Amino acid sequence: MNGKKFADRAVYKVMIDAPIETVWSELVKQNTPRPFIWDGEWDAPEFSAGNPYRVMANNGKAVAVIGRILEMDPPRRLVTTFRLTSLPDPASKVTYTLTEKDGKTEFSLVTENVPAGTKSEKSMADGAKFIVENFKAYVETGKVTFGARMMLAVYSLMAPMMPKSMRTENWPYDKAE
Amino acid sequence: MSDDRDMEAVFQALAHKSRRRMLDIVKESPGIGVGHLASEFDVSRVAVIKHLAVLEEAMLVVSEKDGRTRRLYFNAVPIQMIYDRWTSEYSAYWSGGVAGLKYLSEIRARHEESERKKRTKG
Repeated sequence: MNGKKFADRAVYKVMIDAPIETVWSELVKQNTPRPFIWDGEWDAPEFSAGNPYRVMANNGKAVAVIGRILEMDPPRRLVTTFRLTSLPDPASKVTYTLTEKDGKTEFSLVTENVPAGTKSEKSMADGAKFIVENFKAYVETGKVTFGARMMLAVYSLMAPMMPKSMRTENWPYDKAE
Repeated sequence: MSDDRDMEAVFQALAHKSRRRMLDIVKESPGIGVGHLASEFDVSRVAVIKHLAVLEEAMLVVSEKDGRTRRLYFNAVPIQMIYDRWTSEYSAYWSGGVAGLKYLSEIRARHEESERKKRTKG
């Protein structure tokens, strides 16, 4: 990282065998567990640019991610700020891009301004790979990968151990950066 | 497996020394320009661009236009998918997975026990 404040911009990309509209609607479907984001649920007063959003975990009892929707251009582009509530690091920027290619959809997730050398950096790099790979599997087959299903089972067992600091009452919308 | 054709493209892309070196360079310098990358090789720029096309076809490299330069990024997802095909689906289940589940169930049982004790004390 050469003493840089932010980690390098990182790109995660996959080709999904589904129409762009389907991919978009699966990505942003709210208030229903999304297995490719660890069964998290999008939650927003209104899912549009300028509004805050949260990714709820543990049946709405906890917040995993909080941020703000910076840009939204269905079915092509969603730009958000992104902060993991489990870590003390400031928000970074996550961009989801969908591009139509021969009836398939190229899906990319780009992370920027991730504070360098932090746990968030490691967590987001691993997380982005998980999301992109499993989003493809989920849209194409209706299921995430076997490895991910194992992980989700483990997560549900661990749910009671989720840190109190992540509880929903600690993360009102106005904490979105 | 429907993804076999995609994986073939990845293996083909990786089956050349120069392309593996290109990946090393792009991974080390995210956002590197095509010209800059080409200058690291003795072969012609055209040859480098051909190699790049193979890497992009396999989605190991993603390029983005930035004004007049084309910036290159390493994409780890295809390699992750190969890794997961032969590890998480099988070995993770038999080694880590089952052992992990048992271990976590035990932690959870202990956690619930201590919570119950706290409640009865309070």
